[in-house]
Amino acid sequence: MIKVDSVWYEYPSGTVALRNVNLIINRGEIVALMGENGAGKTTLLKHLNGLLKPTSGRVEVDGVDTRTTTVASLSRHVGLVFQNPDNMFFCTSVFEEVSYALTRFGYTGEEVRRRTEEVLKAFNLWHYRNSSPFTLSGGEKKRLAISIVLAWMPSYIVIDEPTTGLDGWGKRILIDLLLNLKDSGRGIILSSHDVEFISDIAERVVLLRRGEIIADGAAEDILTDPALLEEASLLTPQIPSLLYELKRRGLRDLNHKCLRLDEAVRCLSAILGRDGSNWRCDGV
Amino acid sequence: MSTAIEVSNLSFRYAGATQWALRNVTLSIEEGEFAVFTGATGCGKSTLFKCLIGLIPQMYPGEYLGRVVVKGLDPAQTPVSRMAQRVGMVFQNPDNQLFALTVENDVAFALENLGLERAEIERRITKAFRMMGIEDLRKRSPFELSGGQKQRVAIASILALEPEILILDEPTSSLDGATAKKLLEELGEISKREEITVLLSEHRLDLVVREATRLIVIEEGKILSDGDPREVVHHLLEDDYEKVELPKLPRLAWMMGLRRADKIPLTKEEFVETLLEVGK
Amino acid sequence: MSFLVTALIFGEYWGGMLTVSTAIILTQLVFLKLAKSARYMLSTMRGAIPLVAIVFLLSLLGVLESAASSGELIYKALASSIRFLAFLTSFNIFFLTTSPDEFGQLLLKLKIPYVYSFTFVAAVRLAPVIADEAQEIIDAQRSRGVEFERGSPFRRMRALVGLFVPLLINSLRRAYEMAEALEVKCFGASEKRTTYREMRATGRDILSAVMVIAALTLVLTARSLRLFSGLP
Repeated sequence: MIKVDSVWYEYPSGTVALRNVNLIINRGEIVALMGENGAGKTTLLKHLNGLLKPTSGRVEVDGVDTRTTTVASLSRHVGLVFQNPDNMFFCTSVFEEVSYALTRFGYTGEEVRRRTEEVLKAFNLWHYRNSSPFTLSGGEKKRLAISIVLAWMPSYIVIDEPTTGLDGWGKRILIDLLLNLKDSGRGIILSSHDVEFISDIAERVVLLRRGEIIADGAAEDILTDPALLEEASLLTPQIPSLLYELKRRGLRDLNHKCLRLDEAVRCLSAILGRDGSNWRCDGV
Repeated sequence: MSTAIEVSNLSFRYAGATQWALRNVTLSIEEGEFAVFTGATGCGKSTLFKCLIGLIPQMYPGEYLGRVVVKGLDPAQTPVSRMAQRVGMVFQNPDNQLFALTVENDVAFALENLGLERAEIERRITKAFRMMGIEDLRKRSPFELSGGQKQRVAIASILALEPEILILDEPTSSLDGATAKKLLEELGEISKREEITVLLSEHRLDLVVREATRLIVIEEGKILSDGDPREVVHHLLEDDYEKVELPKLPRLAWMMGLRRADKIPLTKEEFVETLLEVGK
Repeated sequence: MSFLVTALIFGEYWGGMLTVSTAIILTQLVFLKLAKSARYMLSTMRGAIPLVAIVFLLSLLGVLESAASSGELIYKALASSIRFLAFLTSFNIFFLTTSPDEFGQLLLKLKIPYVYSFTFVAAVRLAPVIADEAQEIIDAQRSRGVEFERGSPFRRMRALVGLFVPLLINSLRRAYEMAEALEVKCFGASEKRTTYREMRATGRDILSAVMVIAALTLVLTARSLRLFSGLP
C-alpha cells in the first residue's frame, strides 16, 4: 500500500504544486491521476519513489516513510516510468538497457539474462535486443521504457503520461500489457489527461486541479460527470457525452454511466428495446 | 476552386536509410480545404509535410523522385525562405520554435528576417495576435507560458507571415485534450474566415473530425485512404483497420449495426440525428 | 544600470582586494535596496553559498605554505572568497537586469553581425531549458537505480554517462528541430534585417557609460601606480 498523507509540496521557486494531498493506493488496482497540464500530476508521481520529499506531510510505501530511505532502494518497489523515454536511454543496445538496471539492483549473471529475455519477449522487443534504443519508433521506445522498469518486478508501476507519442495501435498494445500487470497483483498508477484511454482501462480516477484532489472515485462515476470534469479542465469522453445528449433529447431512462464501447452497445440496446437491428434494416 | 498543392508520384528515401519514407504518393489539395493527415507514428506524415515546403530535399538530402507543385512553385528548387512566405509550417514542439525572449519579438522574428518595415510588422503581428487570441501575452516571455499558450505563440509567429497554406505537424501532441480541442476548433474557424488552406496531422481524430473537410490516412509511406472524412472512416471500419485510433462514436454506430457509408455519424449531434431518424 | 554593473565587474577584477570587493558588494546592496529588489537578489544567490565555501577552502590550501601567520592565512582566504562572491553578485545582477534580447541588440548596435548576437541570445535562452532537461534525466536515471553521489569513481563515471548521453542526443535532435524552425521563419532571408523594437540610448545610459569609463580609468591608474600595494 502506498499512503500519501496530507502532503504539501512547494518548489524552491516558491510555486506550491501540491496542496494537502491524501491518497491510498493498493496493489492490484489501476488508478489514474487526471488533470490538465500543470495540475500537479508529475509532482505527485515523483513523491511516490522519493525523488521529491514532501514539504509537509508524509508518503509511505509499504509502511516505509520515503524520507527515511534512498531513491534507489524505493525504486525497487516503486518503478517510475518517465514521460519522455529519450531521457532514460544511454546504453548501446536494447538488451543492455534492460540489464543495466537489473545489475544496479543487485541481480547477477544468469538471473539478469533470464529476466531481460523474459521482459523483452513479453513486450515484443526481443528481436531488437542488439539494436540501439535510439533507432526504435516512438511506441517501441515507450514499451522499452516500461520493460526496463518491469524487469526488476516492482510492486507498483507508475507511468507518467503513458499515451504521449503513441498511436492507436500502440495504445491498444499498452492496454493489454497494463491489464496483465494488474492481474499479476501489482499496483498501477497512471497520470494522464487522455480521457479516452483512461476510460478503457482505469477503475479508479483521481482528479487533480491546481495541486488539490477534487475527486477520487470509480472511473464510471467520475468520467461520466461532465460538470466535475470541466472543473478539472478535462473533456468528457465521447461515449458518456453522447449518452448525456441522448438523455437530454428524451431518452430519460438511459444509464449514462457507461465508458466502454461494449457497455454502450448494451446500454443503448436495452433502452431502445432492440438489439440495434433496426439500423441494419435501414442500411446496407 | 483551384488547386493549392499537387503531389505526383513522390517517393523519398533519406540518405543512408534502407526503407523509403514515402512511396509513390499522389495527392492534390484544393484551396480552402482543412485536410487532416493521420497514421501510425513514423508512417511518413512529417516527411511529406517537409517535402511541401522544401526542407526535403534542401535540408535533408536523399533520393527524391516525382514532382511537387505548391502554389505554382517547386519546393525542391525554391529557397525555403521564399516558400515560407506562402506556406507556413508549425512543428510539434513549441519550445524549439520560439527564439525571442518576449512574445511580441518572437511573432515579429520572421518578419524582421524578411526586412519588413516597422509599420508593416506592427500591422501583421497585431493581426496575428488577434487571430490566435493572445493579445494579453504580448510582453510576456514565451518560456513562462503554458504548453497551449506556447503553441499559440508559435502559430501566431507563422500566421504573421500571412501564408496562403498553413501546415501543422502534430501541433497538439503535447497538449491536453480540452486545450487541443479548443485550438483545433479555432484553426478551423481561421481556415474558413481567412481562406487559408490547412494541412495538419493528428492522432486523436475525435478532436478534429468536426473541422476536417478531408481525411488522409498514410501507412508506411503510402496513401491508404483519402477523401471525405465520413467515407474514409467508413472505409477504415469496413477494413477493421487498427493502426489508427478511430473515434468511438462511429465505432459504436458500426457495432450497433449502422453500416451505411453516408450515415456513419462522426459527432454526437449526428449520432442523435441518425438515431432519431432511424427510430421514426 | 547594466553598464554600471559591467563597470563593477571590471573594477572588481582589477582591484581584487578584500576591502574593494566588500565595498563593491555593499554598494550593490545599497543600489538593490534602492531598487527594492535586494531580497529577491539575495534569494537567487543562496545556491552560491557552497561554491563560496569551496573557494574559501581551496584558497586556504593554496596559501598554506606562503602565509606567514594563521591570521594572514585566513585573511587571504577570506579575500579570495569575498572577491569570488563579488564576482558572482555582479554577474547575477547583470543577468537579472539585462535581458539577453537587449544585450543582443547592443551587440548589433556595435556592428557585430546578427548571426553572432542571435547565437548569443539562443544560447542564453537555451540554458534554462537544458537545465530542466538535465534535472529530468537525473530523476529518470535515479528512478532506475543509478546513484550519482555514491559508489566508486568508476561507478560514478558510469552514472554520468547516463546523464550525458541522453543530454547529447536530445541536444542533437533539438538542434535539427531549431534549424528547421529557423528555415521556415526565413532566417537569413534578407540582407537588411529590420528590428521591430529598437533601443535608443537615453541620458541615463550615457551617464552610466561615462561612470563606467571613469571607474575603469580610476582603477587602472590606481593599479599602475600601485596605490594599494600595501594591502594583500
